[in-house]
Amino acid sequence: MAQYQDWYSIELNSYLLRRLPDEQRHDAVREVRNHLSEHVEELIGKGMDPTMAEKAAIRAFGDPRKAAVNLIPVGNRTSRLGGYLTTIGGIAMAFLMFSLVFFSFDYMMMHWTLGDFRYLAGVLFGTMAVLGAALVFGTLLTRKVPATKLATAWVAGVIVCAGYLFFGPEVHFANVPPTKLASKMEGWRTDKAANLQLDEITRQITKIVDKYPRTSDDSHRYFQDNSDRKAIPATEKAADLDTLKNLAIKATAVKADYVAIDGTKSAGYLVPQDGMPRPPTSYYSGPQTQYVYTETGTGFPFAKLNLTYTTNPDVALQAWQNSGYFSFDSGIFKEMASRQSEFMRQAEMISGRSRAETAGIILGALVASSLPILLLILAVSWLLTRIPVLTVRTSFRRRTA
Amino acid sequence: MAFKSDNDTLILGVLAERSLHGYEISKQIKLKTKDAMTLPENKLYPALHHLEEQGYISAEWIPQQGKPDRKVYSITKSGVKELENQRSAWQRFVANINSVVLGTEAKEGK
Repeated sequence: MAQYQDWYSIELNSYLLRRLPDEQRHDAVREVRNHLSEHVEELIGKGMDPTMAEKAAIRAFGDPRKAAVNLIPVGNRTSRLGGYLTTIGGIAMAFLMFSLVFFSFDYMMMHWTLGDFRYLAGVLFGTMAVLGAALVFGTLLTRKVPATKLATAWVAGVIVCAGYLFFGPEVHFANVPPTKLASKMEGWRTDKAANLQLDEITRQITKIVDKYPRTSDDSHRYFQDNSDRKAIPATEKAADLDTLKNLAIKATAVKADYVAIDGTKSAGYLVPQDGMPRPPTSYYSGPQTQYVYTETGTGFPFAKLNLTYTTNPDVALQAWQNSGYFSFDSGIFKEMASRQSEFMRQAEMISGRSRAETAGIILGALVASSLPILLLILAVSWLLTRIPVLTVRTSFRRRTA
Repeated sequence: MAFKSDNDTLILGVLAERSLHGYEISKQIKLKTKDAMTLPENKLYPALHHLEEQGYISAEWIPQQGKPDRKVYSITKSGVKELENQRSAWQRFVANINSVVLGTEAKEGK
């Protein structure tokens, strides 16, 4: 007796397993079992055979798989998916915390060039955008602020980062051991000052060069009159060339390293080479070209300048004119000086401190910067849960039809 | 307030009279509407759970002699209030439909 109801209950229970909390599942199955026995009792009371009554009651209740789906509250069904999504979002946040430390470390420690950093930061934040979307959808589906998950992820991220900072590879700044950092910094300061001076010199050079036609395949054409411009008197041209020579000498004096790879200081001109539109190659060949300066970034971060040094003012002037992206116009020295300021700030932060102090500073900065992000995410999540949910309306007319 | 859901209102309507278990709720709706309305099992329990979650009804397991326990549902205070709202909405709905179908003038409900 009642074996069909038992089988039905067992099957129903199996479909509800892991979809409802145990207590809710037991209650749901008990309630269905109760419903079936009431129905069976009524059918038997009407004179139906007990077995037939059982089958009829079960048929009325429907396929157990579908019944199970109906028994799972809609909120639970969507919140399962939402829960997964918010978990992914939480993990992403912990990942972001850890990544920030790694990226900032590699950035600070100059294991990568700036280009690498920008590329990887782009990839990182692109990934984060996708994972952030998971968090947003998860919050919408669960209708709950994932405060616990996010807070847990944040704390986990801080703990992992702290472990890495305190017990991971020792901090070396720009490949300089902490003990030698202070003495090294003096050289970096000089470089920064030199870049600022070079920026001013190049500004003056640009001012003169801009008076002449920008493009030409004739090395002497810039001294010819341009129909689009006011004719420049020969005396002015001579004066300009003289000024350029003097400015070039000043530039070499400011930062002799740029023009004296072999240790010999000599007057000359720095002209753009790689990474910028080049003037015809012939200008760089022959005895006029003395040195080629290609800073690789090992001496100083971000100082990747590919410049050619020439003692011939005509070649220099032509090269400056022909480069549409005029290196000295681009404010590259100013930009370098600005980055050097940041570099120096970081170097000063680490210089003369113990490892624990350095790690503490970095971790503190990380916590201080990520906490507002966490609060912002929580605030956005809260706002998302306030969005009204569309409800499907039914009508009596349709029902009674 | 707009009339929004038939099943919920029907359940609240029968529970307003007395506390009932799931099967009995289904039976009462069928009985009171003279078989015009039926609430199939696949709609009944989700609706009950939904109403319980909203706090309009409460449930309690009542032991029975010689039989398994029954889960009996009762309407709560907020359920009574919701039922009143739904009744008003229903009256307005019917009046509006009547004004079109029967040509009677619709009166503004409360």
